[in-house]
Amino acid sequence: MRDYLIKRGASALVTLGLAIVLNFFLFRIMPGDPTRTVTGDFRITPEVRQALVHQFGLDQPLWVQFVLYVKNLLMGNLGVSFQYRGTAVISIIFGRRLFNTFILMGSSITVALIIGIVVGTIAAWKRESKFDVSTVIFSLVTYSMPVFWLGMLIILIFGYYLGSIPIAGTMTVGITYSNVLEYAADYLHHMTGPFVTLTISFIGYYFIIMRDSILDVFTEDYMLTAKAKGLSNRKILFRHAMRNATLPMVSVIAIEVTYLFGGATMTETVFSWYGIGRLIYEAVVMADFPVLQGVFVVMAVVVITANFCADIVYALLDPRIRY
Amino acid sequence: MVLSWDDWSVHSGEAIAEQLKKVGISVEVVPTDDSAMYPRLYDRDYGIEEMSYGYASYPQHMYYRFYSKEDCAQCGQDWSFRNATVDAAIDEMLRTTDKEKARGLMWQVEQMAAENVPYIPLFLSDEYHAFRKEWTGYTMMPAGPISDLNFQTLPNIYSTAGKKDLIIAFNNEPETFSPMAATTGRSYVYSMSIYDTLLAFDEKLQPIPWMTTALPETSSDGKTLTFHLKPDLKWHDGQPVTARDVIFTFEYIVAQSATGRNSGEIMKYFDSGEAPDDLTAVIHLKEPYVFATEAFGNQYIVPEHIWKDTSLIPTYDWDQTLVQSNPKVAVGSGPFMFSAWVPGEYVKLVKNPNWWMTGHPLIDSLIFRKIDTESARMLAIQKGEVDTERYSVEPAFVEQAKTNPDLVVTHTVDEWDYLLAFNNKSPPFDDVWVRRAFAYAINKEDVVKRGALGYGTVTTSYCPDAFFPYWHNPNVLTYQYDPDKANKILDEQGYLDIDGDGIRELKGVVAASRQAQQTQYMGYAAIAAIVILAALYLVYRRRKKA
Repeated sequence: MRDYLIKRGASALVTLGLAIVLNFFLFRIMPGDPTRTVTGDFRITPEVRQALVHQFGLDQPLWVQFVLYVKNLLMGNLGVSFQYRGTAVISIIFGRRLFNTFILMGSSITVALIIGIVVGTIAAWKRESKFDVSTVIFSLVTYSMPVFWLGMLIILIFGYYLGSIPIAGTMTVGITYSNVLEYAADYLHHMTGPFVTLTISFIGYYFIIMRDSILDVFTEDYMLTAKAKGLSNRKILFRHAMRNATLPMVSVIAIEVTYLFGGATMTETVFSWYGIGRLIYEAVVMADFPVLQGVFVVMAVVVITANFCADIVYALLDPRIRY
Repeated sequence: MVLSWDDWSVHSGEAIAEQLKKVGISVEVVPTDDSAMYPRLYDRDYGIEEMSYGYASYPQHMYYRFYSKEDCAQCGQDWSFRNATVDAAIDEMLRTTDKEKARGLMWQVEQMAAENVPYIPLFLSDEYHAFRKEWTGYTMMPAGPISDLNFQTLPNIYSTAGKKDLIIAFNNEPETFSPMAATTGRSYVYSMSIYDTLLAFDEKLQPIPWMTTALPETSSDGKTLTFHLKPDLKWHDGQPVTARDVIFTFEYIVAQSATGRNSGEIMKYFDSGEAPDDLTAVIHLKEPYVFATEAFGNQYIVPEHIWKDTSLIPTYDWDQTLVQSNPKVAVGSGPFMFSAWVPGEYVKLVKNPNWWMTGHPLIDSLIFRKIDTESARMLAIQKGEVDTERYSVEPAFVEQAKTNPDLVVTHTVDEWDYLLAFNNKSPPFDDVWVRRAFAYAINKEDVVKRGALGYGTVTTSYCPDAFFPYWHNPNVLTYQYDPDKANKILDEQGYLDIDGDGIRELKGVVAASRQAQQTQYMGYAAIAAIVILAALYLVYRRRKKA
């Protein structure tokens, strides 16, 4: 087990190093002029553009920029944003945006996972029943539905016509809260729209994976043995089938952890949810390299860590895995 | 080349390509992302480009777009247009400080530009603004009732229903609250609310006194400007505004290479300044400048007693949190005072009760609420959650907004001017007759209809009447749509359709292009041969192994 840990850890570190190098040069080799995109305006005079190029450090040779970047990175400094002139990238990422994204994604993924696993198991058990067919259709429809369209529909119906949810933001404008509970209530009220949208869009994916992997397990010999032993249906389903079928779900969860930090660009944009996904979109539009690099480094760290953890959990859950 | 993310740029380009086909010109429309487009512009790696550029509140573009010396990578003009006569006329105009005379010279420049056609003006985009109907008192001018050129709306707008808070939906956040570092309209609208300027602009974009009692006096040699401040101006913290603050602002811009709105011109022309008394600011220029009044008058004045402390206010690194943790740094003398900024949600400004225009602003607070998509902004306006929005209503929503009885929709021209520009050095566009033929062959009404869904105003002048009524030369050559004339010009100039495919050939390049094509085919053949040989070899090796 120790060798396994060391091997996995080393490969995770190498991957991270590669990700950082790639991350830096990817943005640099693309043609582009951040000063022009940031200012976005032809009325900016040459003198001002020169001043900006100098401020952004873009007049330095590429390798100097890279050395500086790695040096700063090791000290935990991700640079300063172009579009939010002078604001440290670290404070842009690790602030309210990350909190908002974490809460929104965390809750919707959890709820969708629970529903997906439970409904998926039942659907597989009652294969080809009315329940199975209708849930499969439902999940295929919601999974293929463009999430921004669903979001806009929800805003139109519940935000505009019924007026039961706010149209945008995470809080009521201009309000001062008397206590934390009041803030939490307002926050959750604002979260309803994006939460429902995301949950609906996630369920289908989890459901189908769960259903298929249970169906896979049903064909295994040990299921026949279990039945032959005369075990109850419930025991077969939850003790034998579900436990084995959860393995693929671990990989799925490891991948989904990225979204906890990466956010959901489209949903966040539609609901003006102040999160990381929206930040990525803005940074792309504004050619804000430092912010993009920062977000990607953080995401690379998260993905690599999550996969590392998944490997370990796999080894623990499945006695067959031994390296 | 057209800008890929801008549908208007792309669709206009397609419309133009179809029109040109009728006079035997084949144009390939290449939607290009900005990250690829600007480098190609700098490298002159294109034939024609078509997108929107944008006007300022005074026609400085006549210099940046036509002057040869500005023809450098990353400068205002990326079209390789060089013409000594035009340069001489621009030089003379720039040095003229008498406004009447300057206008005469500007007319000359417009005429010369029209004769040389370095680019073809197409149209100005339309500005539609939707207000909840109880709001009134806004000022209509080019670029719309709420823009960074319009200083009068926010202090004067009021609600007939007695509402005291104006909520404006905005898809952006300020890049910074520093008027010295702001480079876009995203931030100017905050700068102009919190800080005051010496001058503002009226409905015809003519300068009017603002912090000052009158327009500045210009010395006879044009190198000295004297501004007279209104008495009893106060900073938000109660300190008096003095002429020293004005001088400090300009000195600061030059010393720190600040990047604010007029910094470029100020850095170029400001020599020194003095304040003989508290209300008189005298500015010495390095050389006379025709738009000195506008450029210096349009600068946000900052308080010396706060800004001289560079540890408190860094020039560039105005951290997002700086203004939240220390609202003192956002002290100005403008109509509104900074109150709160919740990133991602809203910015709140409150009325400055001591502003010089007594009794104004008429609202108590001004809230910019961040809503990311136009559909959500329109729903919020219709529902009454917000009162208007910062930018123009997007075309797809205009008709819907007009039919809503709760809304009033205003209409002006916007500041974005779409144009089709040539690479004036690369053949055949180095031939002025080709550029003229293009100008005759383009049906601008049709371009607006198809490119901008009709939401645009055709421009035939380099200084259009709709935007710059004072500077517009009404007698200039306008190139009315006339495909027969375009055909005639091209025939006369020897651009003939030699091979009869409906497309004219360039002069003298027919043979060359055929040769190039032959080389290309030979290249394809060689590649094909290599691939076939390699495949045969692999098959051979397999056989041998077996």
